[in-house]
Amino acid sequence: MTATFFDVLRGEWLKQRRSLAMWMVVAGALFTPAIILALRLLRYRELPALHASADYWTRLWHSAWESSAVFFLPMGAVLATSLIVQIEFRNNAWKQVHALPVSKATIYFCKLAIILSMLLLFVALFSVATWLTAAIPAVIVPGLQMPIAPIPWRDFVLDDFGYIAGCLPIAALQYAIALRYRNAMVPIGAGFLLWVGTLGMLSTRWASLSPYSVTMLQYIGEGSERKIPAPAFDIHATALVYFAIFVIAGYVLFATARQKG
Amino acid sequence: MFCLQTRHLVYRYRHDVVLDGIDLQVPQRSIYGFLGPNGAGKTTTLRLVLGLLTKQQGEIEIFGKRLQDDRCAILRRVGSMIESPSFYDHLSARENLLLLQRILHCPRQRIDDVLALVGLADVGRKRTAQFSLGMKQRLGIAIAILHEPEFVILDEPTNGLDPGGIVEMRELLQRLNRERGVTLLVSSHLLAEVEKLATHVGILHRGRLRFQGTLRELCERQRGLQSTALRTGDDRAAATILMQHGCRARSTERGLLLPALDDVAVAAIVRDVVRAGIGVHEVAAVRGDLESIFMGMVEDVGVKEAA
Repeated sequence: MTATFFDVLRGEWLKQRRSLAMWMVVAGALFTPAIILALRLLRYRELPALHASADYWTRLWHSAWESSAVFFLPMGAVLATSLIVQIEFRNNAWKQVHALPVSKATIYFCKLAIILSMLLLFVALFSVATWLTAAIPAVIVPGLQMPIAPIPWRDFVLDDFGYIAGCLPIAALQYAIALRYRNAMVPIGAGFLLWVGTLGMLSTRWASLSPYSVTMLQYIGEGSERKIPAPAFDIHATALVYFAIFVIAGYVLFATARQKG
Repeated sequence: MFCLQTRHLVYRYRHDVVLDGIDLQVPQRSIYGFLGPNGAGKTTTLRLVLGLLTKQQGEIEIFGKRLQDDRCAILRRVGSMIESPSFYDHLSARENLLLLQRILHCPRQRIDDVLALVGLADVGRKRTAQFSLGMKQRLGIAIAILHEPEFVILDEPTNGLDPGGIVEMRELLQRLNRERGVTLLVSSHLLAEVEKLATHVGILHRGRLRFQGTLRELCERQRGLQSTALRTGDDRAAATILMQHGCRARSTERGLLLPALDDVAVAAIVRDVVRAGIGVHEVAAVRGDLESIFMGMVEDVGVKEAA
């Protein structure tokens, strides 16, 4: 019997147990909320006034996403993708994977699914940890209640989906590069250069042409005052187009490689 | 019926011909020793057989089916370990087997069975990063046989094993072949190891198959290389007497070397030499071992190619 997509996916998920990629995703997602929480607990006297403000959640959300949208999420996608693929190279395991009764498409798309679930995990953990920066002080600090403002769930969920969509082209391009090179520094270096290049493009209206720009442009676009020109294209539509192109190109390169493992 | 058959398998890497028309025939239920010096092309052949390298020229049939026609169904019945064992060193031995058990759809009990079979039952929960080279090699074998394949391809399976481990490994492979009818293709550069393990042998050198057949056929060649050594008090005079009997003797540092003789001929020669007043100090049968056959094949090629 040939292994199904689901069987291989379960196997791929097991490979991530105790892996560096998994630890990095968890650490990257919790880093900014942990800093926010620490600062709030240090300045606990200011919290009653802060929790009473009507725009508490919007301000918290915006400040929490600042570093994540610009740095942690795109660089996390670069590093996690490279590390997930690197598991096979480091353990000399590609030859074992290719000698399994599994189609090339299943191998390729299962690993991609794991990368995308890591991104999903990052955003989910980040969102929950951001909520906890309000909930934990409310439990610890005597007399402090949860913020009175209602949580704008719909906006936050839409934001989260927007950020995930923004990561898709980064993950797909990094995946295509990482599959091609045994040396992990190649995809990581390429990702870092493209990220730096995108930062340089942010002041132009052509920034949305960079597949690494979407999370940054989404975050900046949500600010109260626009500091950069409006993007020339719809950023999320561009991200999805890039994603489709990179996934197809990556698969063609993977499936037609002369040497496997 | 062959478990594996290749026809005119050719593989080039840039301008170098790595494999030059390999016609491998691995009979079912055999232990096929795939022998050759380092760089002969053994691993390239095995990689092509498993589809790890894209085939350039020739045909590969496993279980009578072309690999490219039914790759997944064929690989479901094949286990392999190519070069070094492959597994994830941040996981335990059991976890490594578990992820393959899920993909290969074999009963979970097989994990305990194979760990016990290769002698790793006590360390199944230990991270494989902490394994010795020999333990890693055993786990590689366990992975290869987890789904009870009918055909197992092992590339240098005794690498890194101590002498005791080599004996255990040999016994394990022979048991798999004898009790479960598993066909084994085992590559090695260790001649003595293949001689003790294999029922069939293929000798590869510089990308060409120099010999293929049963171990018995190879041993018949070996008998053809047997000779008789004779050490006397006066080898020159003894050689003259032998010549009169139509037996050409070659003088060596350790005495006279004669073609293989039967018992009657040996007795006659000794009697005549002693009658001539020459003392006979030693008569011995010199056995041409597999190593001399192998080296002969390999060196012949070198000399011919140099010429």
